[in-house]
Amino acid sequence: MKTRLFAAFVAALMLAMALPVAAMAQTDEVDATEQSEGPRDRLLEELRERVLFQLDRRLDRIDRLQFEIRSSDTVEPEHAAHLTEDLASSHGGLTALEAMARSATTFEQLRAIQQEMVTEHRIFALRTPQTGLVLASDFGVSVAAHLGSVGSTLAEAAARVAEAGYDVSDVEALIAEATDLTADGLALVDPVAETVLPLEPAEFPDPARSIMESARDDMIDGRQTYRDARDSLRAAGRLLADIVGSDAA
Amino acid sequence: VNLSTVEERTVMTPKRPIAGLAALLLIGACGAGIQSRERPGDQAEIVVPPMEASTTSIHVDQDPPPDSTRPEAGAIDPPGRSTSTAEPAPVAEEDTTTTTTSTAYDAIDLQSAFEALNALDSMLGEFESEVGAIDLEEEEGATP
Repeated sequence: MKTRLFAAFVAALMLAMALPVAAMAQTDEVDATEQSEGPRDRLLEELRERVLFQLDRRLDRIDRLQFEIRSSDTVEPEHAAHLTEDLASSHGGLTALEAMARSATTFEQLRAIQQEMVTEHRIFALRTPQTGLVLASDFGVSVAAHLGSVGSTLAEAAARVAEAGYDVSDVEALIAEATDLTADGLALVDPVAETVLPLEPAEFPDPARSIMESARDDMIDGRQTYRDARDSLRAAGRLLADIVGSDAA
Repeated sequence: VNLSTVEERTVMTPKRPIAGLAALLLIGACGAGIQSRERPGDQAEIVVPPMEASTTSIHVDQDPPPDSTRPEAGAIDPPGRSTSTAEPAPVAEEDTTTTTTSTAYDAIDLQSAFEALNALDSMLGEFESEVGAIDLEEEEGATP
């Protein structure tokens, strides 16, 4: 009898000891599952946020570029239409990618969206400098027209001074120099818009980058040539003022 | 009553009947003419005076033209002449001489030419900013 009682006691004791161990083992198993799925989800969400942020930056940039095009008084209407159409197309594509990024469930999907966002649109590396070059080129054409207008005004004034019997040959030489420089500058600046307008993301980095670098160099050279033309006109004006004794200068 | 005077008038009146009649007709015609002018609606009776009469009748007193040889602000002095010297204006013998002189000394608007140059400076500065803002080095910054 004593033996049976002792056996029952030992069995009860072992059972009492085994239950917490089993419970602890179950808890460890749950924790292990949480540890393996939690970081993955967090990483996925982080990547999603990053992709959405990058998409937003591009959409904001497109808005800014479109505003610059609309604000320009000098852009050729055909150039403005071309740029606006390209940017609107990219805006539509990026907006669609945004919706896809919100519903993506895997890293692979988000990475594909990221890839397409960069390679298919090239908002920062291509569209932004392309828009800047076109707007600057068209603005440069209007600068040349203004240089020509000032040159004509001074030439008319010089002709009237000459009628009064003065020697204005130096003034006329300076105006002619300014006219030649303006033509040189225009020859550099004017073709830039038509050169860079057709560039597409598929052409980046080559040949798009080298074409845009060459175009920017032409713009910089044209800018310097315009400066020289302006200096010649200013010198002509001062000389003319000296001749007639005016204090207008 | 002085009968001799009455007799004289009676006697003298019939001496120029035709002249008197003509005078009456003339007065009547003038009256009719004036009456027709006072009726603007009746176009058919308007008497238009001859062009020569209206031209000669117009006379407008004008101030003498300004001295075209004296340079004003911005005007061109001929070589060797100073603007501060007040010389008497040469009297032009013919109108053509005056016209030629005033054309030669027309004022030139150098002030506006320099304003255009200043506007050009501003425009060129804006252009330089636009060219300077072109950045070909910007990266996409989202390499997968």
